[in-house]
Amino acid sequence: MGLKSRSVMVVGAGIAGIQASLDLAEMGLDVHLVEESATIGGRMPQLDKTFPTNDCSMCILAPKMSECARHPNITIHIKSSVTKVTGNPGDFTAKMVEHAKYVDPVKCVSCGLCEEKCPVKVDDEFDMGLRKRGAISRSFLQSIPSEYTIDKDRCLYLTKGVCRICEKVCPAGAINFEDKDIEIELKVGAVILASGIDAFDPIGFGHFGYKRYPNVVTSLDFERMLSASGPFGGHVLRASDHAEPKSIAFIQCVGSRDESIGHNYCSSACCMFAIKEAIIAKEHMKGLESSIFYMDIRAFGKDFDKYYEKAKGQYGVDFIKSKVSEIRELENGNLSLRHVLENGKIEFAEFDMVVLSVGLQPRKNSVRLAKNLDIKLNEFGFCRSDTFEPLKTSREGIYVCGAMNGPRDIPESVTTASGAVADAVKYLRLDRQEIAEKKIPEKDIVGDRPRIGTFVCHCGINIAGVVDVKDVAEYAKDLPNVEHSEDLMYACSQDCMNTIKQRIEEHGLNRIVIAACTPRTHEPLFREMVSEAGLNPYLFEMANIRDQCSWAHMNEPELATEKSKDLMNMGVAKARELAPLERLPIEINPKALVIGAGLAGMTAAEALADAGHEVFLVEKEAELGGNLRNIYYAFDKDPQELLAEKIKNVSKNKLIHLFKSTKIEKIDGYVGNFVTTLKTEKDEQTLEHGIVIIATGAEEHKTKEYLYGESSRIITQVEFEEMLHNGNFPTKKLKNVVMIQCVGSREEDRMYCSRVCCTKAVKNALTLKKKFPNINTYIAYRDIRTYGFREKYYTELRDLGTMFVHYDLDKKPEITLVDEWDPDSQVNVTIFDPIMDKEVEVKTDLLVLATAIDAKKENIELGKMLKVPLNADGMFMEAHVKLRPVDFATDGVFVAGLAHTPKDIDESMAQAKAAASRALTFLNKKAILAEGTICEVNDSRCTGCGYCEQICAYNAIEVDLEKEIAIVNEALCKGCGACVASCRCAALDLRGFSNEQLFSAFDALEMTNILNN
Amino acid sequence: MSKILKTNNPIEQTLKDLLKYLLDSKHVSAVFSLRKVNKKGSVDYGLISDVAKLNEIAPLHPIMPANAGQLLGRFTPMDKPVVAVVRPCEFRAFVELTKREQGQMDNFLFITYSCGGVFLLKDYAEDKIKKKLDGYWDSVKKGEIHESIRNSCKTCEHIAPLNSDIFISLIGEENGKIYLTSDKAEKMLEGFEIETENAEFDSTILDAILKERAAKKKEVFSKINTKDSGLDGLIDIFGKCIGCHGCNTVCPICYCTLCDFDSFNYDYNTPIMEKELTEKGALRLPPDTLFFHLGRLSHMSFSCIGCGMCSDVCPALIPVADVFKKTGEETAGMFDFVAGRDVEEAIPVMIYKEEEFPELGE
Repeated sequence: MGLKSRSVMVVGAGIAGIQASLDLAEMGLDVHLVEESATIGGRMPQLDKTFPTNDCSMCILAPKMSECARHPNITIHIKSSVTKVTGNPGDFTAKMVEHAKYVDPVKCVSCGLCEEKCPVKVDDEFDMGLRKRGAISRSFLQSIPSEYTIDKDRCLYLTKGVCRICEKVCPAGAINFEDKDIEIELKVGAVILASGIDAFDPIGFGHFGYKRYPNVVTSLDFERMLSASGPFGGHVLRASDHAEPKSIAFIQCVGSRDESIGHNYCSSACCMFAIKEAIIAKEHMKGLESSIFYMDIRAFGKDFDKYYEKAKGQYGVDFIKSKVSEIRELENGNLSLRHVLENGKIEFAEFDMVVLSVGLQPRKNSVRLAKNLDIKLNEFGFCRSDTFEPLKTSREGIYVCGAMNGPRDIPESVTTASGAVADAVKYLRLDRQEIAEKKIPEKDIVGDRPRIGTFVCHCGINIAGVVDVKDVAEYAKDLPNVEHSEDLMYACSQDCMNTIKQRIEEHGLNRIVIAACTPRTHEPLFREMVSEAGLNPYLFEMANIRDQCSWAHMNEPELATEKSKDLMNMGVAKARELAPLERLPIEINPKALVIGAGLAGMTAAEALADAGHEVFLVEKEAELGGNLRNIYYAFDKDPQELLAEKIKNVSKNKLIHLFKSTKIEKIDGYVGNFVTTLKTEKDEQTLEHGIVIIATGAEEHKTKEYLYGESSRIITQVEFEEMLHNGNFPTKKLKNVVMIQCVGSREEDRMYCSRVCCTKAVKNALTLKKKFPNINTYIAYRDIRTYGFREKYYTELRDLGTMFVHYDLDKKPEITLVDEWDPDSQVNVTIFDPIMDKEVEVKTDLLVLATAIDAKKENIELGKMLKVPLNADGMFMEAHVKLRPVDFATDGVFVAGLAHTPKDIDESMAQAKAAASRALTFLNKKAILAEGTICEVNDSRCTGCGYCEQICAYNAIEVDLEKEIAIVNEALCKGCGACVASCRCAALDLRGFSNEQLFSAFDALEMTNILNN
Repeated sequence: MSKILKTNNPIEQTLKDLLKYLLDSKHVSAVFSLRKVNKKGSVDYGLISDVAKLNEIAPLHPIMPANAGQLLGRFTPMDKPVVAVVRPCEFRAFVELTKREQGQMDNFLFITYSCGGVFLLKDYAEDKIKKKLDGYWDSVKKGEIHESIRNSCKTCEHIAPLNSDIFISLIGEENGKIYLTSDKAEKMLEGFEIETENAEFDSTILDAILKERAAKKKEVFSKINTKDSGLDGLIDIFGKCIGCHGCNTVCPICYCTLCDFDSFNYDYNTPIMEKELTEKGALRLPPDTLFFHLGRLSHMSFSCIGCGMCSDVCPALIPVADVFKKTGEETAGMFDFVAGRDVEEAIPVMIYKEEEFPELGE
C-alpha cells in the first residue's frame, strides 16, 4: 500500500462530518474538518425534535459539537472550501481556501454588541428568513466556533466602503477589515466527504403557492416555528394574521418521487419528519387537526412504524392517501387543497396552514466539489457510490458518508460516517496510543485547610449586562474559606486563565469556583486549566450564572444578581467538601470478537483486520455467509460474487481466526478485558479480547398465513428468488404471478416494517419480467417502501406493466386453492382494488409471500451475556437511536447488520464498517481512563437487595451474592447517579457529587435565606 | 392436582405427626414453627431439629411475636432443607424479601393456612388471651371474624392458598384439612402413614369471611384519608409518633442494615435547627418524625403485606398498618401488582417502561 499519513481531511461538518472526525480523532489521527459555513453542526441544529423518540435535536447534538471543538486532534476550518486534491491515496495534497472572517477569533468574545449595532438587516438563513440578522452575525447561539463573522456580500463597509460601526462598538477590538482569504495546503492520507444535502426549494411549484401564499411553508420553515429556540419561541403562528392555526395539512413528496423534475427517487426522511411535525404541532396546540396527504407512508426504519401507529392512534393525525394537485388561497387566508383520491374522485379540503414536506436534493455546490475532487456523481447529482462499496467514491482514497451519496436520515448518516472512517484508515497510519502523561505533577492537598479561590466572569455583556458581577465577586470574599475573589472579563480567554493559574500560585489556593456560563461546555476546559496549575481537576466547581441567571432572568437584574450570589455561595460550600479524584486506567486488549459470520460479521472482521487487529470470527453454522447465501440478485450486481469474495478474504486473512460450527458459551468481563468461552461439538476454548461486535443477523418469519404450505405454488420471496436463479418453478406454464407484501410485518405482534421486502419484490418481479416479458405480475401492498434510489426500480417495474394493488389491514387479500386435493394447486387470489373500487380475482400460478424478518431467539441469551438490551421486537437496542446507532450504553460492545434491525446489503456493510470503526476507537488505545466521578458502595450499609443492579443502564454495579453487597465496576460506571437515587439504604454515593457535598450546598443556600429574612 | 390427607385426627395432632415424619425421615433437617417457651403461655418462633422437642410446638397459635418472613430472611440461604409453618402474610413477606435478595426460597417446604388472625401483643403480654382462645377457634370454625384480633387481620383478604407446598384449610372447617399442593410435598410425604386422595381446595368456603373482611376493610380504610388531606391530615395521623422507630424494627419489608433515618444524616446541627426555627417559628423535637413515616411509605409501602406488626407495637397507638396497607394497595394497584403474590412478579419500581402514566405527561 505504500505511503500512509497520520492526517486526514473531512469535508463538511454536519452530523456525519462531526461523527467521522470524532472517530478518527479518537484513533489518534490528526483531523482537518473543513466546513463552508461559519459553524459546525450542519442541518441538525435547525431541527426542533427528532423522530422516533422526540428528543430535542440541538440538545443531543450540542455535546458532540463541543467534543469536536475541544478535541486536541481536530482542527476546524470554517468558511473554507476545498479547491483541489492531488496525489495518491495515502499521500494526497489537498488545497483549500479559508475565507476571510473579518473578525479575529482569538479576540472575539461573542458578546453580540456588534450585531446589535449593525445597521444591515437581512433574512437569517438559519431561521429560514423568519428572523433578521446583521451583516456581522453568527448562525445560532450554540454555534461552534462561537465567534462572529462578517458576511462580506452584505457588509456596508466591505461593499460600499462606509459604516465600520462594529469596529467601534467591539469591546475586544476583534474586528479586522484587513482580513484576507488564505490558501492552505494539507498533506492527508485520505479524504472523507460529508457535505450533505439541500432541501428542495418549492418556489418553482406554482400550484402550491409557496412564498405567494403566506400560510404555505416548508417543513424546514415549520421546524424553526416549532423550535423553542426558534424565532417564534415555539409558538406556531401563521404569517397572514398571526393567528394560531386550527388545522394544518402536510403534503408529502414535494420534490421527491417526481420524474418531471428529474427526482425519480424517494427522499427517505420526509414521511417521518412530517409525522413528527404533525405530532409535535398537536402537542403545542391543543385541539389542532393535522392531516398528512401521502402516496405511501415510508416508515421503514427501526421503530418507525410504531411511531406512525402512535400518530394515527394516540395523536389522531389524519392520514389521507391522496395526491394534492393544487392549493388556492381563500379570502380569510385559509388554503383550499384540491386533491385526488385513490378511486379518482376529486375533493377539496380547507386548512389554516399548509406544510410542504420538501424532499432532499444534492447540494448546490456538489458539482463544483466533484470537479475539484475529481469524483463522479450519479444520475441524480448525488455522489456516486456502489451498492457493494457503499462508502467509496469513484476515486480511491476518497470516501463518502451522510446524505451526500443518497438521501438519508440522521442515524444512517452517523452510521455511514463511522463506516467511511473504517474504509479510510486503510490509508492512514494507526499507532496504538498511550494515555497522555500528566504534564504537571499534582499537589497533594489532602489534610490541607480549604483555600478557595472564586472568579466571576462578565462574559462581555452576556452575564455582566444583567448580573452585577463585581457585587457577586465582592460578596464571595466574605464566604468561609474564600482566600481570593475577583471578576474577570472572559474567564475562558487565555489571558484570564493565566491569571487564575497565577492566583492559585500566589494564594496557595486548593479549590476553585468559577461563576460563569455553563459546565456543559466549559467544565472540561476549566478542569484542564486547574490541572495545569498542579491541582487535581476535580477540585473545581462551577456556578452557572449565565444560563440560570442572566439568561433566565434577563428582565430582573436585581434578582438575577441575588440568585448569582446564592449559586456562588452553594458552589463555595460544595467546593469546601471537594476531594481529589483519580481516574483509573483500564488496559485494552487489542483483539476483537465478532459474533456471526454473515455479510455484516465478515465485513466488520475484515475492516478490523485491515487496521491490524487480530479478530476472532465465530459462526454457529458450518458455512459462512448467513442470509447472503440466499440472495441471488441485487439489480445490476451479483450478491453471490460478493459472498465468494468475502469468504475468500476472511479465510485467507492471517489476522482473522475463523471458528465455524461454534457457539458462544459464556462472555465475562468488560471493555478492553473480555473473556469468552467458545464451544464446539468436540471441545471448549477461552479467548481474551477487548471488544465485541454482535452480527448475529435475523431470520425469515415462518408464516402460516395465506395457506402457506398447502400448495407448492405458494412460496416466500426467498424461495422465489432461488427459483428465479435455478429456473425450477413448480410449473412450466407461468402466466400469472401474484405477490403479497407485509406478510407478518406491520401487524399487532410484529409492529415493524421488514424494510427490504418491497425492494425485494420489485427486484424479483423485475428479474422475472425481464426474463419472461409475457408473464402478468401483480403486487398487493400496503405501502410501497422503495426508499432512496430504489424508487427508480419501482417506476421501471410499473412501466413494464406490473399491477400494484393497494390493500389495508382490514381488507387483506383472500386466498383459496383451485383444487383443494392437489398439492400443486393453482391459487385464487381475491382482493379489493381501491382504484377500480371493486373486488378483483386472479387465478395465479404462483403466489409469492413477502414474509417478515424475525429477530433471532438467541439474541435473548446473548444480550444477557453481554449485558446489552433488546427492544420489544427482540432486536438489539443501540445506545441512542439517532447518534449512537452501533454502540451500546455498555462500552466495548457494538452491533451491526440485521441483529440491529432489518436492512439491505449496502446498509449492512456500512453498519458493519461503522461497528468496526467505533471498535477501533477503543482498540487503537493501549488503555483508557475510567471516570473519576463514579459511584461507591458503603459496605456496612449495603444489604445487597439489587435495586441498583436493576436500575444501572451501564451494568456497572452488581450484587456479589456471596458477600451480599453491591460491587461497582469502576471501568463501566459513568457516574450518572441513578443507583444512588435508587438506594433506600443510603449505601451508595457518587464521588464528586456526594450526599455530603450536595447537602452542604443546599444547607448553605438555606442559611443565606435565614440571614436575608 | 392437589391431594388431601385422609384422617379424622385433630388437626394440630396431624400436623405434628407430619412434621415429626419429615424430621424422622430426614426429608428436612429442621422445623420452623411457633413453640411454647414455658407453661405461662409465652410463645416464640423456633428452629427445631430434635424430634423430642417437637412436642413444644404450637404451630397454629394465634400470636405473631415477630413476622416469620423477617426471621426466615435472616437465616437464608441454607444448604439444608427446612419445613416452615407460617401465616400467609409471613409467607408473602418472605416472597417480597426474596425478590430483593434478602432471602432464598430454595430448600424450604412451606406450610401455610387459612388464618383466622392473631391477637394483639398487648393482650398477649397482659396474659388476656388464654380466656379468649376457645372463642377464637370457635369463630374460625364458623368462619367469622373474632373481635379481639388485629385490625390488619380483620381486614386481611389473603387467606386462600398461595404458592406454598402444603395448605391447611382451617376457616369454616369443623376439623382442619391438609392439602398437599406441590409435587415436592407429595414426594416428601410418600412414606407418611396417612393416606391421600386427589382433592382440590374449594375456596367457596372462604366466601363468607372474605365478604365480611372486605366490608371491614372498607370501613377501616374509609377512616384514613390518604389522598387529599395534605400535611395537616398526615399530622392528624402521625402527630402522636414518639419517634421510637419500633414500626421500622418489626417491619419485615424494612430490611436496611442501617435505616437512613437512624443515621447521622438526620442528626442535625444547631445552625440547621436555628434555620428551621427561623423559618417556621416553632420546631418539633425530635424532628423528622413525619418525614420518617413518609420515607418508609415511599420505600416499602407497595410491598406492604399488611401483617399489622407495626400497629401492634406502636406505643402511641397510631394505626400505622392501616395507613401503609391502604397506601400500598392503592399504589401497587396502579401496576396490577400484589405484594407477595408470586416470587417471579417483579417489583414495579424495578421495571423500566418507556411509557408509563402518559396522562401525567412526559
